[in-house]
Amino acid sequence: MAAVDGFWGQAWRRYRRRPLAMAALLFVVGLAAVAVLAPAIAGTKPVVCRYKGRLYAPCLAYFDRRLEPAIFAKDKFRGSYPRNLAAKDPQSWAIWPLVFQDPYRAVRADEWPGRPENPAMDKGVPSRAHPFGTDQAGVDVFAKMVHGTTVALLVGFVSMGIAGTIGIVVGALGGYCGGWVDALTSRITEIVMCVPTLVLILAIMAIIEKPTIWHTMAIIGFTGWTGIARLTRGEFLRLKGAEYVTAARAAGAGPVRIMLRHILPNALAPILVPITFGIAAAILVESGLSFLGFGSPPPTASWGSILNGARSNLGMWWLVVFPGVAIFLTVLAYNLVGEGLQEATDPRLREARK
Amino acid sequence: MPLFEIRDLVTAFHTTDGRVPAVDGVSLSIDRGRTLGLVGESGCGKSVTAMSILRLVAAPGRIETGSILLDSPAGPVDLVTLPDSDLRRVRGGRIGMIFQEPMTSLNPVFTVGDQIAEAVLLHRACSRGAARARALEMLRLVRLADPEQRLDEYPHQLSGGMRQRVMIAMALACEPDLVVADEPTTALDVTIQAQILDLLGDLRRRLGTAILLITHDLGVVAETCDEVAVMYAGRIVERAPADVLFARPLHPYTIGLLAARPDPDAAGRAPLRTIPGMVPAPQRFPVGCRFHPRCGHARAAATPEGPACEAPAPELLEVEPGHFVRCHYAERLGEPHPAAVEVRFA
Amino acid sequence: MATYLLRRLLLGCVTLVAITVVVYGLARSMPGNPLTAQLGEDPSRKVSAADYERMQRAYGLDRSWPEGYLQWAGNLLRGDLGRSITRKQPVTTLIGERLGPTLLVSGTAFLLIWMLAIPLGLYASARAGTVDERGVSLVLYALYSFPTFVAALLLQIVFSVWSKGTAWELPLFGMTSLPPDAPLAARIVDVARHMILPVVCQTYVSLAYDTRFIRATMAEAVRQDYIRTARAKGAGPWRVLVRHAFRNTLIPLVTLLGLSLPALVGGSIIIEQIFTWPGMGRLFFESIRERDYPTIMGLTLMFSVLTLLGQLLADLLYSAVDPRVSVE
Repeated sequence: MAAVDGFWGQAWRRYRRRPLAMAALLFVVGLAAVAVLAPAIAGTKPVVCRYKGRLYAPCLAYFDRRLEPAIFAKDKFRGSYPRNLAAKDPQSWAIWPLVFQDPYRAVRADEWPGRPENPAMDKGVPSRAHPFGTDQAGVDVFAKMVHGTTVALLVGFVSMGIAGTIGIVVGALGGYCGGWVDALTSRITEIVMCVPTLVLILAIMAIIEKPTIWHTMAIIGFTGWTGIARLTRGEFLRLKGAEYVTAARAAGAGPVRIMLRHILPNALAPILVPITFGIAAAILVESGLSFLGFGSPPPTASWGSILNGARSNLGMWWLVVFPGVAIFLTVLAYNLVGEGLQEATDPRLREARK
Repeated sequence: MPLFEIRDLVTAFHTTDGRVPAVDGVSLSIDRGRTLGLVGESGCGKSVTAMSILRLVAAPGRIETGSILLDSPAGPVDLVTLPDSDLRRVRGGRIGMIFQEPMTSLNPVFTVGDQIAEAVLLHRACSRGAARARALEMLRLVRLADPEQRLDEYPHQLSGGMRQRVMIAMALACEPDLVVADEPTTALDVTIQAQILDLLGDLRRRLGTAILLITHDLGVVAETCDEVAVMYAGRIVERAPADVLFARPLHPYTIGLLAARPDPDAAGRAPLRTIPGMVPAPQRFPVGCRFHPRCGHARAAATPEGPACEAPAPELLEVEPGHFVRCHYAERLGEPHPAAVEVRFA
Repeated sequence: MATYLLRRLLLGCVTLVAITVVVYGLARSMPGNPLTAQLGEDPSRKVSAADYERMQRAYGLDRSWPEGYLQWAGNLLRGDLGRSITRKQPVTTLIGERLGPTLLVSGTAFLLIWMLAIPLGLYASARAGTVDERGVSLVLYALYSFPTFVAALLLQIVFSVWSKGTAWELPLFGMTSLPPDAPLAARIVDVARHMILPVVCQTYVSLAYDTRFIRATMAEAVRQDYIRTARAKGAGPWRVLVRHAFRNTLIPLVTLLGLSLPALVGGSIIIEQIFTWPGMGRLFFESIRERDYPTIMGLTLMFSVLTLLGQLLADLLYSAVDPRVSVE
């Protein structure tokens, strides 16, 4: 370790000393890996296959439908690969996902040679074939959850990216400029804070004609920036008077340069903490919305929407336990990361350690 | 036996960087009604010594060895091993404490009167009314203006000097035998400093309280103390009656400290003298005599025949009755060595 | 003091106007209107185009939303919150009906939270660093991250589905399952049994949050110089903790208290929805789904007033517990 390392280097060293925070960070990294590798973990499309002399990766269709090679549509595969591949090109080969289960539909009888149809409703109790069970329509819960990881992670990062940007800009303007700008931004912040979030979200979701998961993320972002704005404002108010800022101003730096180059880097550590906690909160809001039936529309796989299915079939406990635990662990992990970050960057706690 | 005695106190902090002995074998004693000044630069361990007395050292710090003896009717008690409940009776009851920061040492949500009365109620079986009356009496004693009105005011309504008077009133409310004053005037304006010191001296004479005055300011010591102990790098390097110490300082560090005092008579004319080098951090105390890297004697005596200052560590020797010095050259220090103090132009 | 209150009041009014305009605009921009939402659910009530026109005019739905807003605001100034379109009742009556059930659950939860959080927070502070404190803190931390809707579903499964027929069985949803003419004592017991699960769900997250909050502010207070002064005076550990440290943590705590006011009266949409509890949160949810503009606006107004009031209350309480702060 270098003798002289910057603020973030030191923060990282302090962070690494906290086993729970490190475990949480590893969990998040693991989730990201699951999200990226989801089509290779569970799916009904080959990861890689050779068909009629060429190589394809049909599994990418799980990220975006348009990525499904056109040749399979032309040859009327209809999404069912194992038998079609063998029947239409005996020379073909394929590398299959670890689990042959689809997050959007039930696997039909004999779709995979010798495999029976997925059980539906009460018969979908977790078993060897379906460790997390199947839902009312017979869709494998494990496959749904693996693909739902993407949504959970994206929701956190995208919505907090939006909220962080708005919050920092609004807070920085208010804190740095003061006067009428501060009065205006403070009032706007207060208004957004006073409107019940869920009402705002439900109304906007209703107005958008065809809401997608991206809309949900954007709305959570557009409603969740108030806390960040207030904190940023406070930090900017505090740092505006710092000597090095006065020095920069005396040296002729413009307000934008002062805000971006001189104040923001010093204010970033305390602002980053509510953003991390915000990621956890955003995941909760999204799964809550999906649970109420207002989230990303089907067939988007979201952990919350699996829970929604359980409301009318409480006997199917596995529809609650597995996604519930997944949401819980993810939220817990982000909260732990946030707390680790807070303790690694809090100057008071640093001084106390000396 | 003296009223109060510290023997071989070692207080160390256990941090992630290892064990840091901030106080390393300090011994001192105070007789009834006397004032001992404990002097040293910041970081020498004098405040940690003060906090150790009432076991107020914060978490990573711990008293490791040594004893802190307080004379009592039933014989001396050791504050280091005293059970918590008994120690609480000593805190504020037999030993009062005054802290450096009057701005933050008073609880902001209670009135001044409440805070003094609490000290009384904790140690005396009396009614709230009597405690309040005692608080008022104490505010008069510390010569706070408008004591009746101040009684119901909150700390933030008072100035720094007034708050320190309140702290003194609180420390003396139960007529303790000893008051430990940890840099009581450092945070105050110079004019207020003199008032507070006068007040302390006056109260000592009237109440017969012994005082352990901890300060970095030799001027303060000269005016108020009967005896002085000079501390450097966790150890006491010289101890003597005040008049002896100021007349015949022996340890090179004490001589350096005295020389570094601005001389009011030569205002602005004479160059200020400083001791070269820095106070070592407790993690990096030099072996042997801890002052030797900054000491002119050590450099001058670095000859093959003389005892090297690197090892062993010098003992505290009594060079004349009541005058102790921790230096290998203690006997020869009577006549100041020409190279003892390096004079610099500040 | 008076000028301060007046200023706050004026600012609050500006904020209220802005909020109601935004929400009214949003509500009217949602596809459909109360008539379509209502008629769509009930195919037997097909109405002719002429009838539809007539009803639209009757409810003022044929005008643009700014006009509609002005009409609503005008009525409000005369003290009239309007009538629910879908429920044919004055909005104030509707709110009055729903307020009781919500307060029953959230008030009970509120009492439980503070009665448990303060001793737990103090306990955690007193035993800081010990094994049992770490255990308690870890459990609280986990509870804080546990989503309410998951907890609600799990509780329903355990106490309603799996415990069916045993002494542990608790009602799945609703507020009562007895006829209104049942004896009072039986009805009280019945409602209490219905309350248990919603109250538990509404309590645990806030309990975990508040306890951690108290613990954190206590940790901050304990580091202050005046705590050392109190110990030097001879105060015992509990006295130091409760009288000197906790009295100072009251200052941030009252802010938290003031900010929890809207949730106390507003209830929780998700919990009331899961347990079909006839409270304010559920009314809000239903009124949005039914596009019942007067009810949406009435509830929004109430929430906003409560939020602003809560902030004002927090600031006033703040100056009451901290002698250094005055509202002037």
